[in-house]
Amino acid sequence: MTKFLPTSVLLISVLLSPALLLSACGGTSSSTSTGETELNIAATEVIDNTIIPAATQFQQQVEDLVSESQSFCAAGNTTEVNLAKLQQQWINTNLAWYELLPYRFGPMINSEVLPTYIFIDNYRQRGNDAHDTIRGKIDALIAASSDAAYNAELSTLGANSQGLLALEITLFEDAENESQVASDITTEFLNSSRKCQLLADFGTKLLSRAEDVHQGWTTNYRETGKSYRDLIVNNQLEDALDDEAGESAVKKITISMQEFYDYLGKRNVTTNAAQLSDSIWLALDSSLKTTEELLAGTESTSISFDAIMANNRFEQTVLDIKANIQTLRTALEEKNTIDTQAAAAILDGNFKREIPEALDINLGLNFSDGD
Amino acid sequence: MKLSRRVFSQGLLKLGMGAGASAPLLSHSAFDTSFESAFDFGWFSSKDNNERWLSAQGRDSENYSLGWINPKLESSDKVTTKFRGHGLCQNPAKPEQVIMFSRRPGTQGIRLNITTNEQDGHFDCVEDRHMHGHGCYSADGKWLFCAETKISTGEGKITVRDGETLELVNEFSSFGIGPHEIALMPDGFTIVVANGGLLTHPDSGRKVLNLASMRSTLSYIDSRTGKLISEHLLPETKASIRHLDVAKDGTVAIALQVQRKAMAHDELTPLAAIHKPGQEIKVLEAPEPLMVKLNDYMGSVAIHNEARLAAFTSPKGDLAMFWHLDDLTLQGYHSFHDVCGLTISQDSKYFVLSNSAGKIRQIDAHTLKRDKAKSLHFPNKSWDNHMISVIGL
Repeated sequence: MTKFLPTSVLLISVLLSPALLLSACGGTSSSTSTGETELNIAATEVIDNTIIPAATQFQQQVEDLVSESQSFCAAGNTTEVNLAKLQQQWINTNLAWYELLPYRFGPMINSEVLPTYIFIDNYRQRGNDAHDTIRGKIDALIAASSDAAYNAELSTLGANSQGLLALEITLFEDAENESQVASDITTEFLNSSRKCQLLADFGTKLLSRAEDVHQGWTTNYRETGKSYRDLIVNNQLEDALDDEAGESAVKKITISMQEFYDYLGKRNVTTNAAQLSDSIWLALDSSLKTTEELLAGTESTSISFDAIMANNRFEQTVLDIKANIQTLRTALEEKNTIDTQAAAAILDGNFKREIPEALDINLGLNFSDGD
Repeated sequence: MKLSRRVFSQGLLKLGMGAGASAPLLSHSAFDTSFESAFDFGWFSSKDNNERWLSAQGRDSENYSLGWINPKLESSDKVTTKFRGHGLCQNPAKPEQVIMFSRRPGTQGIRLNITTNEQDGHFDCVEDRHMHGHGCYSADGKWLFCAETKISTGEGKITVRDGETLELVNEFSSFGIGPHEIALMPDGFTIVVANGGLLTHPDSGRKVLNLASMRSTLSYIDSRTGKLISEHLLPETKASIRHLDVAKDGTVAIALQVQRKAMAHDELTPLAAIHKPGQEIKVLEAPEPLMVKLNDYMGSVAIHNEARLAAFTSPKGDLAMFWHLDDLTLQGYHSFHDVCGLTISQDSKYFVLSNSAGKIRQIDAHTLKRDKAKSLHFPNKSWDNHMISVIGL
């Protein structure tokens, strides 16, 4: 029992800390006067300075992962040193993913029935652990008796049998014994040509999705010939496509970030995701950094969300959220799952209530308060 | 106090509603067998399709109102109510009369005269009662049934008001806790009740007080006697039956809201279902990504009789979804931010969707595609949970 006491005490202190409990002393609704233009500028700058660079970075990292995979599988290169480099490249790719992951809308979705992101990170959908499913598929692929059989098996891969997790399992353990010893992994790559083949195929599939996301943001969203960036910034989505939901960029961004922290607070992300690579805490810090950037802006930002909230006389809200972010950072640094989930739940609430109020935006009467 | 059957019967007799009354108010003999027969369709056809869509609207107590749209004129108007409304119903015998019920745990209702565009009636719950936002008229329009709760005991009640004076004249049990949407069945006397099963108390706001023991039922009650005809439960006990609509053939489409915090498992749960007379409730399935997106919440439901489709809206998922009433297959879906209001246009060509940003979209009932030319936007209106379509004068 005593072992858990400090955590419990910490959790209680987290929940009760004045810095974490946003005061109601901020501005009032009558004091807010955020113009649509101001919000649109801020949202546009988030898209240009944070989201699109994150999508670009993710695509670049996947390209590098594919390239380094090819190099690793080339004759004479399948060494433990090169495996370590390739594993690090997977971690870099995953960090880039977690920087983009909180912006789960538009090109991250594309199709409501088969959203793009579930082919990259199936766990994000609702926290279903697919390790065993993927291991079974990898075994079947390696055991394929012919190219035809291999291709047939490959074509059956669902969204939960590919993406970053499939590559992590391929690179961080051997299929034979789930050994994470580097020599066992390299030996399997050397002894089974299928292992390199599926590494390449998993990489190609992931690259295709990364390109879809990047292309959607920058050049061609859902075959409209226009970027999602331009369509949403210029309020043209509803005209361009019949089935776009139609909310503004600032609402999309806010709701998406709220949903990310809801996910982090409720699902077992810290114990199920990026476990073989032992990189989940670093990955979550990547998400936290993009959260800070969303609110505070970058060097190129002319007006940030924080500035708008402060202008609306919610300076205390800005300070409180910064404190909440710091609490989550501490939990990540300490690799504390309970505190991470508690801090994420508080940020979830901030993006659901305090931030919309301070920005003077309404996320939807029915969305927020239906019956 | 729970009314005994004898007291209840005396009440019915007093109202002329008892089985032995010379002119039973809610019997087959008075209304044949169909809800439609109570309508004066000549009245409809003589009008110039002066269609209106009505909905509670407004974001705060200063602006809460009953709002309406004339889609032909692309105009809107409202009467201020000072309370947040929820569901609405039209008097089938006097179509100029539309009732709006206050949202849980409100205690008021108003009647709008859509000829004069003025409020011409108002009613309050009696002491120790609150509303759940929904009600319906008897087939002849003489009685207004309202879903309420007896606060001190938590019992669900269906109160009976005089359709003209709006005075409370009787009540019977809803046979469950938290009766939400109710509707008259095509036989003209059976009321179907969505007993949400969730106990709340005005003193604790909207907090659910009985998550562990909640019991949600779809209950059919004889409005002439107050007797329970049948009740039906879902396989998932933590799914709350909240909203419903009734097809001409008696098929009932029900919209659910899952109390995830109370569930012992983390599996996805269907949020839409169909009940046909003599059968068990059948849930409606959809691909996992769509189910995930709904966030355990369906807010409204409407049946299109000709297309045999049931439409459901989820503002927490930004989705409207359409299932076939007979083969129960998903026919389509439509993304729309904060969508909740849902009705059928009077010409039956469209599903009409609304949101709190004041936007209206019309979805072709046969192709299930949005007719962009018919989209409307009223930036100064904030359409709330439900919308109905009526013909104005």
